Amino acid sequence: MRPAAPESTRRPPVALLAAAAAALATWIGASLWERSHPPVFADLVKWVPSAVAPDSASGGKPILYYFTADWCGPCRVLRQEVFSSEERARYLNEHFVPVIVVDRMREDGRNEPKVDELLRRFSVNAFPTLVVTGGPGTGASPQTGYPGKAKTWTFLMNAEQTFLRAQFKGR
Amino acid sequence: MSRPLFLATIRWWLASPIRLGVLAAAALLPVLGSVLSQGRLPSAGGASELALILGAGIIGQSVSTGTLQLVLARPIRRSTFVLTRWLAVGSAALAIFGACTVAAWLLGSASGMETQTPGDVALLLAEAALHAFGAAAVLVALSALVRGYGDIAIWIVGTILALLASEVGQVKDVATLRWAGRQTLEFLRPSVDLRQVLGARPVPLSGLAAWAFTVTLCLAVAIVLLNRKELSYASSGA
Amino acid sequence: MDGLCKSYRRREARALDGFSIEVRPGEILGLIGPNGAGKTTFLGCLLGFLEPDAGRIEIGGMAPDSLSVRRLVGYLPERLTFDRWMTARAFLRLHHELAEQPGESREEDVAASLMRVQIDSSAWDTGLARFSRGMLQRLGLAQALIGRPRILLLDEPASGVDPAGLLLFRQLFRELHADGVTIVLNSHQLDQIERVCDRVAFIASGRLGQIENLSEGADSSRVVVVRWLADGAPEREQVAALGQTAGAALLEWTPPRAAFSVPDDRSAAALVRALVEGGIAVAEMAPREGRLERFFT
Repeated sequence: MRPAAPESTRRPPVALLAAAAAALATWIGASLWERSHPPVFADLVKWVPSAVAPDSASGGKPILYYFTADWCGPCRVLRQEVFSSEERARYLNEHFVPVIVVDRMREDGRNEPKVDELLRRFSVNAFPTLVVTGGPGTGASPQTGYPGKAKTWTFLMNAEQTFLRAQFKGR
Repeated sequence: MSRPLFLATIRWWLASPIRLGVLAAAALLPVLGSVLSQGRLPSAGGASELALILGAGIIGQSVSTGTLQLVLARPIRRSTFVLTRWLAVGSAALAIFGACTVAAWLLGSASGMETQTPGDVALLLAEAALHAFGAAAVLVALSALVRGYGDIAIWIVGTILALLASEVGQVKDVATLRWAGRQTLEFLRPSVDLRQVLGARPVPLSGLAAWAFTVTLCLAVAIVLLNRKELSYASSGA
Repeated sequence: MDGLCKSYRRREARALDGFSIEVRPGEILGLIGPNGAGKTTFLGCLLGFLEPDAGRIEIGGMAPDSLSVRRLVGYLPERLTFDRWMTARAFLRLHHELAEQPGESREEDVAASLMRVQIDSSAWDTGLARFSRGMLQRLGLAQALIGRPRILLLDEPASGVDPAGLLLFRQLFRELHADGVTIVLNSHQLDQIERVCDRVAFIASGRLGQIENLSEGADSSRVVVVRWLADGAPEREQVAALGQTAGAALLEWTPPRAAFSVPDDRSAAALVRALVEGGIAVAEMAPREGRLERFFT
């Protein structure tokens, strides 16, 4: 290609090529970096790790157990659609004690004892599973799988109502 | 960006009833689907399809009909020509998708169904923009390569082959085949899952960088191809 | 400023071979030659659409594909191409804007240019697919002129044009010429070329042959036909003898016409004088063949 004058109608796209090169470098660099620093998908719910979670309801709020695993696809959708939603997350933070229980059977071959115990207590065999409970001895409302945003939210609201009614009766 | 060319592109689309029909179907069907399915909004990938419909033949047809020569005889850079076409396709696809999405959202809220928040809609539109301009760039590059509507033909064949490759690679557990198929599919339909990107810490830039690379490379290739194109308007001799 | 010069070769098939020509500013240059001679390739190079393999093309000292040159050049392709949806007005509006002409005067400029090429106003808003070939040529010329060019490159402008259109084109070329616009045109219609151009270049097999300067006299011998008023009845021998004094040889005798072979312009002038002084009432003397036809024989 002959070098074209700046006035030329066929000026080569130098700026674009430079941008492409920069983007490629960023892509490669970022990919390599992310391999050693895997990004963690965060949502807006203030999850309490299962290891330190209380066992029973505190401050008039039921416990919401969220059983999940890293490889679970529907869990990601659940997080995106419910837990990442600002207002929903806020509601959950205010009205529940959100506890996240991460199963690492596939990655590590075993689980923390607390995780195992919780899995057994609520007979969790699929992910995601949501359980709302007031603690041992009170009832537990489970939802297995992710049937969609609306149904999940309905489940959570109903579960909260159940807990509040039980509390009220208990007084 | 050339304003007259931008407008001429839009009028070119409006003059083709087939294209408008396919466009309407592609735009409205997902909206209907989402409205019927409890207020779920259409997925951002729909904007890619719109860009493909709008972008088919966007440069190749000009070459075939010979209109390209007459336009390039004017004081317009070939790079401006390519970028204007890209912008026209991307923005039109995004506008149509956006209008349908907002309509679906309003319909959903009006009928009392549970819908997304405005924030969700904004995120969806941002993803749709990435889809629209991404697919537009790929198609513009293909269109500068082949005449007529060869661009969309190549895109379709490429997508089918890539799907086959990734499926066969999955079934037969051939990692390279699966990888090749996947990469080709991602190249043909550049997009970014913004929720993943924005919701994760530390923010993973690789997805955005990949999108930027694909788009800038495709546009650069299209411009280089057009720069080198020798335009002959000779008919039967002389 | 409009002077351009070029010398180039191109391609294995040698569409143009060692071509070297300089177009003078403000002149009308015609290109003639057999089909496939390279005339279209030449125009393509002038437009910067085709790159010569070797050699240089310059328009006003700049490369032909530069933005400034594009602003100065108007181009009429052999076959006008347009999008189906366009009307004549929309087409010209598009090119008006592409040619960076001011938006405020767009509507008037478009209307004026359509009127200048005498396209009836009833046709201004019909789809171009309905235009006849002649109308398309006129529209093409309007398109070439819409950017107020200083240089016009016209590929077969007269092709498909009716006689009224040809008259119009000639008139327009005269006006443009008076304005100092440089015109390079390519045509098969020798008589039109002869009437319009200052110089004519003959191109064959990619090579530049003779350049004929039409403003100068013809230097070669040609056949002229003289016609006189029918009331006189001159004798053949008398006319032949008068012709001989002027150095012209009588070839055919078909009263009231006679064909002479004259070696040059001087002899032709002498022939007229001799005939008139000899009592023949010469009404008309015209060349039998166009001056350019000899290139093709």
